[in-house]
Amino acid sequence: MTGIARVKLHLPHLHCAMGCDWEDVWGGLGSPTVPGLAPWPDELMSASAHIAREPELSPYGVDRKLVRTMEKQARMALAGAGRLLDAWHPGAGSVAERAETGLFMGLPTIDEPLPGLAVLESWHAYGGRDDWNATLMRETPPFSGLSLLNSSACAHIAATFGLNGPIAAYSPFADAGLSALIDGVHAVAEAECRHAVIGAVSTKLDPLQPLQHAYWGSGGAERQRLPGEASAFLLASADAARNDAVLLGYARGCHSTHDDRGDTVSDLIGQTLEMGGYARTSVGWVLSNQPWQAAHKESLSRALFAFAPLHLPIETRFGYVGPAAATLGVGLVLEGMRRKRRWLTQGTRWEALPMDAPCSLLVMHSPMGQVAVALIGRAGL
Amino acid sequence: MEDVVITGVGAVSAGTVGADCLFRRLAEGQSLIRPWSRLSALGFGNPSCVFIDSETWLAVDARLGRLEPEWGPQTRLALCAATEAWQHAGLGAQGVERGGVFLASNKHTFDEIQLCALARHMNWERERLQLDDFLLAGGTCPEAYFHKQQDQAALALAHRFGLQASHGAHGEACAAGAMAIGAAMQSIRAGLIDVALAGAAETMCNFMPLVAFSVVGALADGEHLQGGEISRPFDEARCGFVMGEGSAFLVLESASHAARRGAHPLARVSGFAGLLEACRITASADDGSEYARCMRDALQDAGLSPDAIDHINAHGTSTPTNDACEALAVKQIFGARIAEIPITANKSALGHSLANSGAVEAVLSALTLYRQTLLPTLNYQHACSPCSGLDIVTSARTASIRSVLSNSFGFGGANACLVLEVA
Repeated sequence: MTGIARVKLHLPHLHCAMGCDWEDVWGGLGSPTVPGLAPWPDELMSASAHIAREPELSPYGVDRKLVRTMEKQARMALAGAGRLLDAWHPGAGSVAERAETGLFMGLPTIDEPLPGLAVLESWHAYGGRDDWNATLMRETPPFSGLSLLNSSACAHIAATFGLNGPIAAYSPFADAGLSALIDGVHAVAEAECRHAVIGAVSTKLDPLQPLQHAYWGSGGAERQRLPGEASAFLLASADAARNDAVLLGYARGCHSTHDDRGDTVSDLIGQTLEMGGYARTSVGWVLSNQPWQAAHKESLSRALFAFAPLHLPIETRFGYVGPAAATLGVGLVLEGMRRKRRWLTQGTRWEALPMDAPCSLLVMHSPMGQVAVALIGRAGL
Repeated sequence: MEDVVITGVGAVSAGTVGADCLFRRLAEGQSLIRPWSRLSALGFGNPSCVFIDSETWLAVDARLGRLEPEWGPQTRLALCAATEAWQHAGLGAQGVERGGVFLASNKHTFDEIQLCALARHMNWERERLQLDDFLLAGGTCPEAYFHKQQDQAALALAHRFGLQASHGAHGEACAAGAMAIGAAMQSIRAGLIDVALAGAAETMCNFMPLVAFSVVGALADGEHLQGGEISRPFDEARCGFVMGEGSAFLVLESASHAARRGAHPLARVSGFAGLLEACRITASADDGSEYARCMRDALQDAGLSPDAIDHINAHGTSTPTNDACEALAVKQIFGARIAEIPITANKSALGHSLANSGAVEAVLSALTLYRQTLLPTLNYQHACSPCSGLDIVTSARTASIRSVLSNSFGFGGANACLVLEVA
């Protein structure tokens, strides 16, 4: 084995609306989840969202005042990474062993106003009598400078758990999650670090999110797109043993939003399989998120034709979770490999069937045409 | 392992389009920092920054041809700087089969004008925001709302230059520019791609980022020092940074690819480290040890000992804490020899353009190597205790320089160092 095929992918952990335990989540995939109430007016668009419960950070000794300066995304990321690190090295002395572990994260953004909508609302409640600039100066949260920065979620994880290896923070869409996976695996393969924590988190649920969805989408379908909250993490470690899960191949590209005849997705899948040394017939499971543009949908369905009965659309159960769809997908593959099972859809019916194929394929689309593909299978086969 | 060379550079800053023009202005000791009446009108005590003014925007747009509605300010700056770098590299219309875009840009939020537009759609009788009205009314073109998305510029570059093999937007705070360049270098070195456009674009000179950085005490308040005097890295009277904006790009290429097409490298990128600190969310290790660790790793990556470094392009933000930590760190790495290594802090003239700072400083470092000319640090007069004993360059001078260490240290503990060498 050489290069990336020597890097073991393991310890997937997640925090999502379906729970934060793989037993619950895996078992729950068979039944549709009931979304909660989205935090925005229902006359605008979908009023539902897959809302994750507030993560519990007290076990990690995070100061309550610090927690108040963090976005929920950062809190979910911290909890996801924390569970992974607990599982990796439970008990005392673990921080020293984590030194020089890398962190590679896909981090989304939402154009939320600072200060928040509530401040704008109260400004109006006073009939706009207050000076506008003075209001903004007064009401801008003191730590908004930190929450403005995408890397803050990484910084919280590093400072809390003592990670001080290489870092990369990619923004902001679904392909960012696979970029974190690909580059994290390369960092381990090229001995920049012995272990890399790889993760991604979903987009913040904000009343302005539907604006973005409506803009990126190509029509009414996007009005039905349910946002979701999730963070999903895994560990990449050097020296994979035979049969460990590894990244076998990948490809990244960009599909014009206007070209519905482009074969970008097919091409990238072909490149990925070639890199991994597998044929299409070797793929036993294909997981993807939902493309945004009609052109991308066309392209994906053409590409998936060869894999028709093997496809699992991640958003059907988890909602639109942005970059987290990629690491969530990797987590599902790793969990499926452990159980030797895969979830497949037959229309609206979901079935957990035996998984005996050597590899699984992940296809991630982003709103502006970015596509990333990854092939995961066992080492040394 | 492939050697990585720089074959083209481009930059846009306040009143300056072009990397050569920027280098010349800085060599002449010019500061690009000036008061902006728009910020004075908003009530800022310190209205000084390095902002892209309307004349510069005209010059930028003139180089872009037809403007697409989805191109926001960051994308326009990035296209302008990247086009210059691409042409400088002599790539022109030549296709690149295995090329990538590595762009750095931090999250941008609503500015005060957009916020005001949002506030107009508050129905205060019903005490709720009429989002559908906001959507329908728009205020500006629908695309304008999305101009802040970090991927827009990366995708525009990928499409314009046909760079499909890898594209991504880095967001590691003030280290993001150097991180993007380092990631591009690693991809070329590993043989994954042949050519990369690596750089950054940042447009943070507006109300919300300025308020946000003011309230954490990082920006100079304008009380004791004004205009071009405020930014004074390593000087005893320094009191915070000045916000800047702009874009800078480099064409990175495998040495073999550059040689095949007869390109003339400006410099080599030979070392990189991008590291997390496991320290505090708001500040680095006080003793400079984390900055030092990053520098050490970059030197190791380049296969160089500290003795091989001839020049340091410092992060040098002009904040009391950063400069003191960086001074302590370079002393740890270089020992007594630090007194002989000339140090330049470009932020004295350019302000701190956050993600862009690492990119523009890499461009200036490459030109420093190519021209064998050191750029000055403005306003440096008296060192404070931790900064004493450093050779801060105060006026441009020629020197024999074979290698440069360029530092970028991000808020929140993401650090990056690059090592550049003569080609």
